[in-house]
Amino acid sequence: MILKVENLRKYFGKKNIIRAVDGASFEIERGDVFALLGLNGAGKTTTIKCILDLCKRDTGEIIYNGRDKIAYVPEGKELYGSYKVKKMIEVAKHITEGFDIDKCLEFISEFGIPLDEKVSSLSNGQATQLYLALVLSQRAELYIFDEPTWGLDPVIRNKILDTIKSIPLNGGTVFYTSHILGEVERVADKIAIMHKGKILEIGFLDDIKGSYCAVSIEKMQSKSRSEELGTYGYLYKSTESEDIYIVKKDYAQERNLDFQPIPFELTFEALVLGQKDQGEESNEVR
Amino acid sequence: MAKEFYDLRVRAITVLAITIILFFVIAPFQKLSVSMLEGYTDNPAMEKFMPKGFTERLKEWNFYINSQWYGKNFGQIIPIIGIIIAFPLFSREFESGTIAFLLVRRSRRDVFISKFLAGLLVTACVMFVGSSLPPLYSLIMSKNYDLDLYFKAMLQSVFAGVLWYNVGMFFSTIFRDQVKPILASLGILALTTTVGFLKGLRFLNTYPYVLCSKVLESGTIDVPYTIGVVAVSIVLVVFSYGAFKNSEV
Repeated sequence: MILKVENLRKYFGKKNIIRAVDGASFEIERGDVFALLGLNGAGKTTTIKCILDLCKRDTGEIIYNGRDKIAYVPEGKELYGSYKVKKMIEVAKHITEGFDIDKCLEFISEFGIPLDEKVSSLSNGQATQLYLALVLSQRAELYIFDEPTWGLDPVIRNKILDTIKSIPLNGGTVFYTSHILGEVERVADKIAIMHKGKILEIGFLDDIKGSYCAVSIEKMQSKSRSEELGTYGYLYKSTESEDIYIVKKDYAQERNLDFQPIPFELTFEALVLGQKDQGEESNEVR
Repeated sequence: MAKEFYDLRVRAITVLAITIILFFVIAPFQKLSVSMLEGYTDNPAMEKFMPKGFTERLKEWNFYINSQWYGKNFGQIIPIIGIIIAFPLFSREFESGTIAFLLVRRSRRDVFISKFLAGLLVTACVMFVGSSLPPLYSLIMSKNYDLDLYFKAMLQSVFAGVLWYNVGMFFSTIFRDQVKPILASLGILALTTTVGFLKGLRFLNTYPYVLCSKVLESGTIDVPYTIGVVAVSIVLVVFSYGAFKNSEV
């Protein structure tokens, strides 16, 4: 295990009304690509900031078992706009322990970023690639990427995802956040789904994908079954004749219900939207 | 610290250039100033503002350059220079989001020390160069100059500049944009100067110290005030570090 987060809490606002992270716990094993998935505002960035000590946590424990500093690509990819790319690399070398400037220049050349260009003149994609080059040239055991492909075109996005996916091949570990499910399916081995500061589901991506299914119930067939599913499942669709619920596969199997496999997007939707706010009737998928 | 000096270069060169320009606005014009003031000697309204014999004393180079430079042009901009050097030190990093780039690579202590020391060094250098202009100019123009007074004025200028640098740095650590630190620092400068006119609160007005009043009047450093300035500077550095250490990105 390279990183362990235990019961992390971070509240904001008067009387701690905003529960950005509310008891999140997870572990990342060495060599994994671990993705933290969630809607915007789920608490992913705050979790990362607490791990990196950019934010002070209210409670909880964070154990990092690496020797080197954690490498981090933030959501905004903010670099020094007034510097030229060359100067930005020099500064990164100066302030980063174990920075390999030759490796960085290789990445820059591969990405086709002009060295004499000002950072502020780079396109969004180039700026992300520059940030990535700086971070990947750093000696690190854990790389954290916060929404690394935000605002990028598909070609650059794919390049970046391939680069991220190759990190474990060189002995690194990746902690990755995104709300784009397709990306996560492509890159991650293990995922955690976060919503309103809480971890709703955690495990291997394939296990989670396979553990939920769709069950359709004819409306006239059984009112009591419908009511039960309304409590234990997430009502995905309702037509004149039938209701389609998303439930745990174990639940459907135990009750001998006919079920259909569902794409990962539906599992995510059921988990996230099945969560009601405090005080509302719970519609948690079981 | 190389990055910090690189970031400070434009501000340092600008304030240095302004300082030198301000010096050359007065230094070569001693005769012109004296002749202009002599034109007012018979004006009763001017007596209120000009002590008797003042114009005569201005004919003496040491008195002219010291009173016009330390006691006026340079003195007036010392707090502004300190604030200008300090206000973006931390706030610009927070405003642009680049603070995360630093903090994931270096400890907060290292980031604070390198920023603080780089700014401090630049402020002290500008103060040193600014206050050294009268002896340098005198040397080049072959004028007699009293160096004893220069050392005292230079020392006070450096301490005063550093005090206002620390005020600016403190606000730079607590605000997340660049406008508030400069406004707050200038607000404090205006407030302390104004309140300092009240009896019993004179110590709050730093201008008599900044303008080297005691040095020019009696030829001695204001030691108790210097100790106070150093003490307040240390307190401000401690508070700035505390604010930065606990700041959230």
